[in-house]
Amino acid sequence: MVETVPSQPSPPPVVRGPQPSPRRRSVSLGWALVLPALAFLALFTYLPAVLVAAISLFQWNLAGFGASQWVGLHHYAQLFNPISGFLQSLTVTAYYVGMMVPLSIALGLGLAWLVKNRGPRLTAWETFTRSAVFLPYITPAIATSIIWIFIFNPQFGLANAVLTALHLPALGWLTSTTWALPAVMINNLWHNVGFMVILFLAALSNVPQDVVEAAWMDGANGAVTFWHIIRPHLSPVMLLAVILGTIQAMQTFGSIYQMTGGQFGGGGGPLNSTTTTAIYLYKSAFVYFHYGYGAAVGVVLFLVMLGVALAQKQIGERHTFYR
Amino acid sequence: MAQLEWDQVSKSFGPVVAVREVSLIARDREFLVLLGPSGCGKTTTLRMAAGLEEPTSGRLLLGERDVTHVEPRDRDLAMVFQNYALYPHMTVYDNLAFGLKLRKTAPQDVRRAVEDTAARLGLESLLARRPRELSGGQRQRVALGRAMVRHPQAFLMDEPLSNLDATLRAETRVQLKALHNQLGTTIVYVTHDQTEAMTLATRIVVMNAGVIQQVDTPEAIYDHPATQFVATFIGTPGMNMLPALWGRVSGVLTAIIGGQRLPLPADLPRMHAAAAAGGHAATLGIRPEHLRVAAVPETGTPSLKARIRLVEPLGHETLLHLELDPDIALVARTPDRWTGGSNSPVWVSCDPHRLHVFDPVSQVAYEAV
Amino acid sequence: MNMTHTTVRPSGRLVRRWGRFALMAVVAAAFLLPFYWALVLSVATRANVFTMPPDFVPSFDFISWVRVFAIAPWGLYFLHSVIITGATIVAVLVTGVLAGYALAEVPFRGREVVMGVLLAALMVPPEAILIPNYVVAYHLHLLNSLAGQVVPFGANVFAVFLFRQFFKTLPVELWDACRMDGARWWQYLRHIAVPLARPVVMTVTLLTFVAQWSQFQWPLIITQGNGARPVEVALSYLQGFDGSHWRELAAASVLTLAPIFLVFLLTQRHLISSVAGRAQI
Repeated sequence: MVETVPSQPSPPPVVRGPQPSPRRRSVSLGWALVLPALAFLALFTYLPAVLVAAISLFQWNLAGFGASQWVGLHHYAQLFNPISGFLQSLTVTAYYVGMMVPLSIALGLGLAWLVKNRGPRLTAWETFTRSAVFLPYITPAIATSIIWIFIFNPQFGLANAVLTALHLPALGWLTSTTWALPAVMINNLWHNVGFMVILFLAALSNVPQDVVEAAWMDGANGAVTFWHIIRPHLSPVMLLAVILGTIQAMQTFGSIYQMTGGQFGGGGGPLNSTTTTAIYLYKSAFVYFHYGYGAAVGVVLFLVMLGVALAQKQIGERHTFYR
Repeated sequence: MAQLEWDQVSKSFGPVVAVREVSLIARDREFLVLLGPSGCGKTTTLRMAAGLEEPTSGRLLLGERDVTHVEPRDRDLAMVFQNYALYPHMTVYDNLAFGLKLRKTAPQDVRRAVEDTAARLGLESLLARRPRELSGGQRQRVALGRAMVRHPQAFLMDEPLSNLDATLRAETRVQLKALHNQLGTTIVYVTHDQTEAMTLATRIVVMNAGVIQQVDTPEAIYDHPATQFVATFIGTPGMNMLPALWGRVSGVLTAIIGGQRLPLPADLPRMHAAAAAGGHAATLGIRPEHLRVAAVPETGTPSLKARIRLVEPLGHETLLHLELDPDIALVARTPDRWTGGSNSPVWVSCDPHRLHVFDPVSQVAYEAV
Repeated sequence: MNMTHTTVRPSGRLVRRWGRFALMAVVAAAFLLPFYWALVLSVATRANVFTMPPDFVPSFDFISWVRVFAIAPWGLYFLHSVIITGATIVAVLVTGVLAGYALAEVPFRGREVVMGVLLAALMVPPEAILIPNYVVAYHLHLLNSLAGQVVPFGANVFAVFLFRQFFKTLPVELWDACRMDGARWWQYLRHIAVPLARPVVMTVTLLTFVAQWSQFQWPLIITQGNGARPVEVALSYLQGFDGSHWRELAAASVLTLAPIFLVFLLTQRHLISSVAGRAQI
């Protein structure tokens, strides 16, 4: 019988009026607006990132390329000659980083657990303790390192007072090749752990409370609950903490410099026992004025940090459960 | 002169055509309503008038002046947005004053203009508040005030009432109409709500798929829909559409709908127009309120047999959902209560002069010649 | 879950609760102790400094506070630090707002490239480019100047992204409404977008303040003498110069720490969440 009306040729696709409207037509405006930021970064990030490799190939004179002497890879050869002390600085750095990262994570996690709010709201005590733990993180490192120098004073310092009170032998601390670096570590643990606490607090607040309670109901004790319920939720933050902690530790300069005699030859003492790569680089360039050599150290540092970040990312991605 | 003209205006977003070749004039002092379903291009049409979108092709004229490539700030138009877009960190006073201040109006003139506008809209007591401290209706009035305070040549309004609840919307509609009468400023108003369009408009522009379907007064749009789209879009429920074949059966003009014969009187001009255009198929349109439904066939009145699928009693009227055959559904609207049962056979008739006839291919209405 | 459990719990819970409070008190005290000791030392009498065990009772002798200002021009160092920090904050805010706005709301050819280039800057460890930075500063005649301590930190990628993120959340209609009101893009930024971005402005300000106030290695290598020396470097020299004057050193340390303490007290919550946010990027 009667066919339904043949549909008319389908209308063109139509969208609702206001698309994310092109707010400005001008192409140049966009560039003009990002230019100031790019200019600053070009001068003190992009250009130096290229320049560092170039400088490392010269016996560098501040007057410029013309006044500098090409030495090719000579500086790199020197780096890996044990006499230069660079390899030793890598060892010191590895020791420092290898201690700082796990310690600050463990302490940070513990403290985060301690000051985590138990009820729906933060109590005054929790707020206060959080603030106390966080405060050192934002304080200038030289000012606080000076206080820690007092604390580690072998004769009148707090550290030895504590050891004596515990009937332990007093230590030479910053005057000892064995204990100078641990003293720096203690300062920086105190200084930086607040950052880890903040990181882990955010992660802990994401652990679903009902799952934890369910585990309790099932008779799990604290350790079991932590290991099986809470730890998996922390693993993404753990990766972040490892990366940020490593980067921070590798770049530590001010506290080491100040505590290990920076004003008397650039720090790193006694007997180079605290000469990390950061200190080594500084001394090469600004105590001994071997800019080209220091730049070679910079290049290696650059590559090492990149490598560490990539490696940790690789490992982390395999072991992270909750992404 | 605050006449606003779209001359062959098109707008594409990448490959997507939002508005195609719209030619339209909003006359001075007119309340022109752009009506259509979402995505029909009405908002884009309005935004091009505002200068917020640039046409892909065509021209925009404000009075005699070509404003196609003129920045919004140099057009002297004001706009009211659907979500009001009030400046959240400014007080009501500052919201109203912002545009004037940008135009370097003298401080005492700013104050006077803001206070005048606030008085007109009953916002005096709210001037120190911020938008988040206002109710929806108050925010809407502030948005309106922000547009009014500059005394622009025309107002552009993009669904300004759609964020209000039903009662407030009805109230504000009335106020808006009064305001227009009072101010006499040209208003171009976008809505998808046909009640707003019918009650507010001097003329309605019905759009679909980026194309203008019809421009006319509310009554004419209702009585003489130019296309099948307009016919079904206007009215609640919209017009019934019945695919029909026709011819002369023993000399009498007869429509065949769903296999049933409906003899038609000889004096139907729309029919003649359709017939003159040739062809044996047409789409017949009839508004639900023009259908009569009877439980028994009335003798002498040509009718179609149908079946009731659903009865919707609305109190002041009843909607009957019918089907002629499984493929042809229609709705009838009757002021009476329906006492018959559902799923029972009924007979449907109408005044043949109320029938609209559409070309089944182009979907354009045949009008009397 | 069972009877024994419920009967044991209350007392156990109480012990744990008080144990936790005690532990929190010990932790808070331990972390604040160095600051407290510095304060005590700065107002100690000579006899109270070199004692074993250390004396924790303040004796309110302010002589070292007077003397520390006599040893070195601390007012000048302070002024330097304030200028450097203030100027850097302004520069970071301006570059951050402009670039963030462009990247959020101004479509332009090469925008994706700019984003990538900015992200790449985050990969460059500042320590590794210390020497070329020095070389660049040397050739721009920025050594031993205040400007030399501002320019290298004048743009911050993190700030750019924070502003971009925020501007992206602003409804398009605000810009539309602004245009209808007659605003140009910079008027929109000045009157609408930036005032609404106050929390971000605050975050960037705080983070820049903390970073710049603590800046050490860079000013150490580029400043000589008193011309442009900031407090941290001055402090370092003071200790090198005269490490045995504990009281004066403590006073100077406290002086350096004071602005940080003050800001921390005033903006604690915002500051902590800013640092937390910084870590997440």
